[in-house]
Amino acid sequence: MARFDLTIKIGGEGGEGVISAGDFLTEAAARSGYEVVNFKSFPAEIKGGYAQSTVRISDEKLYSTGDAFDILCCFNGEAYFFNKKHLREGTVLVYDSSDFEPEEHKGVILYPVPLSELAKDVMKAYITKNVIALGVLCGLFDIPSQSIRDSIKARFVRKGEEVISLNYKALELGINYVRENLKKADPYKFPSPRQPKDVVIMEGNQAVAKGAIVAGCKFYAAYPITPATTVGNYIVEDLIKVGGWLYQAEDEIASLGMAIGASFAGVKSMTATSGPGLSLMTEFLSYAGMTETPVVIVDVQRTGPATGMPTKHEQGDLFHAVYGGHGEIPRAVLAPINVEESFYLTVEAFNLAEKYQIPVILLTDASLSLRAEAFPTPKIENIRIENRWIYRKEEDPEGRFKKAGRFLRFALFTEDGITPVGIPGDPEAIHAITGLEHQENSDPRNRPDIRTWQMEKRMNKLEKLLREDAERFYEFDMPYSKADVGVITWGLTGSVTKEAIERLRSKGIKINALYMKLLWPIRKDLIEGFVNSCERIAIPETNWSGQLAKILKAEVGIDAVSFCIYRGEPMIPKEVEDFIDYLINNPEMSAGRLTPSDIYGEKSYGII
Amino acid sequence: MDIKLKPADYRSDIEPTWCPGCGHFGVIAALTKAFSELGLPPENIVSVSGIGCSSRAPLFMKNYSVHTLHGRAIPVAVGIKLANPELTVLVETGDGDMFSIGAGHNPHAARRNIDITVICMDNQIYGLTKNQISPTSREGLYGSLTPYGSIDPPLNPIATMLAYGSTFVAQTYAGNPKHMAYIFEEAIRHKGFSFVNVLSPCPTFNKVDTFKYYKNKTKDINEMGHDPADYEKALELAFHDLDHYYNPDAPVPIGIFYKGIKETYDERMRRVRERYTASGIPTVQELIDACKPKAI
Repeated sequence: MARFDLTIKIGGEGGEGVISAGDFLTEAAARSGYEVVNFKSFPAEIKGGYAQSTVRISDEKLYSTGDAFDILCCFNGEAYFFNKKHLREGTVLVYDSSDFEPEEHKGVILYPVPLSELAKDVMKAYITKNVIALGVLCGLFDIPSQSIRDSIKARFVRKGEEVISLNYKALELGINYVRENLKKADPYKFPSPRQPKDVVIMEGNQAVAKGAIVAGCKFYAAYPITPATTVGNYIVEDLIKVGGWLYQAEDEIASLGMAIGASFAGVKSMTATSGPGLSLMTEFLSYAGMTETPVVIVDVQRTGPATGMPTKHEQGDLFHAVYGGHGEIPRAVLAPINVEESFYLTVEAFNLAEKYQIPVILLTDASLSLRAEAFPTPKIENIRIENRWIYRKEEDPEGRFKKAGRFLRFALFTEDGITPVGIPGDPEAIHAITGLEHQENSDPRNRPDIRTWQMEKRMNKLEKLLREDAERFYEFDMPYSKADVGVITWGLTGSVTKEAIERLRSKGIKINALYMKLLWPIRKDLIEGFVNSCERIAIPETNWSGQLAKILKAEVGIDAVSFCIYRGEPMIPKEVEDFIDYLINNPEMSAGRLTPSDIYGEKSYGII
Repeated sequence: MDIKLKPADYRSDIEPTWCPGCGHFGVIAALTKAFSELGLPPENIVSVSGIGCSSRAPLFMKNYSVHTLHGRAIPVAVGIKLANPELTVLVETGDGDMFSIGAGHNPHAARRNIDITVICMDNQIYGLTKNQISPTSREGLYGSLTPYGSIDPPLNPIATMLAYGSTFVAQTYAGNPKHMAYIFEEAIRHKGFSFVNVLSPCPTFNKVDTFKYYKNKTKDINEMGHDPADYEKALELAFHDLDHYYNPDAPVPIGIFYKGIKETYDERMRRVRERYTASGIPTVQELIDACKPKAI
């Protein structure tokens, strides 16, 4: 267990610098050589509404931002109102005493600081409120103020010296206010710096963008949609610098069409969207499968259906990603459980798309998109990059892929169904692609034999994928030969589950776990092997249906108990813990579906 | 390539599936003639189409072809062009494909002056789905879904594309092979977004807008003195493009309505790229390392 584990939550109004204050704390932790995870959320409105940033710091690897905070810093009364039920004995509340006074909370340590007044009256600049608050936190909890200064400098370097020194002054004001007015009454203390590790700090969507650059992506088309837009924000300038381009399309149908066009022209390409955009892309998804065109589609899931809650979390698009579309196509669906995996699985998404000439969908979500993590700096020389098989005449001396002067883009004689692509500009590989069923030389055909063979060519590519490229996406944690419960999870819920499992095991409950990063196609044998090691299977998911559980039932035939939360927020470790405890206390339950109401009582939406 | 290819060298060995007497035969004949005149290597041509009778055209020609989804040729063509601006990218489409299901893509490719050539084979009907009215059908036309005779006013393709900022707008007629080949050549040669509307009769379903109907009705606006550099005059002419729908004696204008000079999207893209790489191109590792927190 970690010797050091501290969670600081900052809440306030959107636009007040809550998010950047959290970012600066995150950087301070990384600079001090500690593990750090930062979870931010803000309202759909441009200005105003409640925003928060939660920073958790530890000396050991962190999987989530945990269940609750140790220190709450409220910039206004609204932030207090939203969080007061989580104040418990021993927690700290730092608050803007010029805005509100809290109720009585037994055992909560209070530090009133007139943040707004100090900003307005002393600094004469209300926008410095967040930096004053950071100064207060530095003064109270020994956060290295030099690190905050470094972050201020890095953030405001383009705005000039004046802005930087104003913020330095605000930081000092906060530190001095503590020294002169407050008496420390809590035990929390930022750890003394240790050897900094070689890490990068990235947000989920940033990690996707960087992963795409590493994979060799040179074309990105997208239509603005929350919460996927920031993938584009992060990639645009990198892409231009490496000779690529980002094109803002007129809609999501066009985005995927453009990405497919660019891929046909020989360029690795992608698009990113969220649920409503994925719906529009589905006709081209089918086309990419039919024409065997490599392309990567990132779906940063948000709460659906329809417009739903655009800035909120859900794992509701799994069915769509796996089964969506007219007709049947070969596809792969990947889902990272944290930011680091968002980086590496984006590279893998391109690798699978290129090697198998298929569309690959990467499923992340609104919360993961905004989560920041420090993780070891990726070394690109250690990252494997796949490129599609491009036809070269000199590699085909017998002319196997040519017949009657025509290039056989869709030749049927390769064992694995993968055939070389021709790139425009090459006189030896002139060919067509068409969404119509086609024969080896691309000509449209309706014949039942050709249809059958081409269908098998396309779909059987997944057999090779399952043999060669599936196992590494199954993360098994199986210390028990026969566990009481086996947990299967995916996406962000996976990282929350990791923390819950550590706690449950320390209570003596035997739990095995499987984190599925490849949701399609499915290695039946690996799932069965896991299921056989467990008495019962539990699958927590943030959606209504228990989508992964249903897919595994359909594809592998296993029974599981689903735990479904669909409030628009990620689960917290405590909820997964309570779910498993519930199963342990209800030994007769081995299939079905539970919701927070079953565990916490009537009309519950969980304990967040 | 020194030896000029003949038009037939640009034809694939697939026999067109169009009905006898279809205007589209003439379109691919004229298009391959234009390719030949321009000396384009087939491997550098990409023909992109949507769905419909017209959209089969790329499959009947020897070049890289992308037969996409209904209405989606333009986005795919844009992706191809931006990925490799050296390619000659054409869109071969029809009135339903381009002005109904795919209409949302037209303004954006046009206003951004993407250097592609869009050839719309306009037969004022849906043929492949067997006789439904299209956005360019005249009022009163009978379709399987409008047995009472269409009550919809038609859309004016020429005026629409001019308004969207297309830098080359022309109309030609499938019954005039020479004019067609000339217009296609000019359109492909034009640097920027070019739109050509080809009046291409459907002998099977549209019994009104036939070769017979168009015969002696077309008037070459350039021969009549129209200067394609004059945008305002082009708009004025375009507003009379559908006069013949209402007045049996009105002429049908063909020729180049507008040809303007404007920087293409890929030229602008290149300038932005030069600006970003003026002080050198970073390595991918450097782009990753940019996410490190600076040391204290």
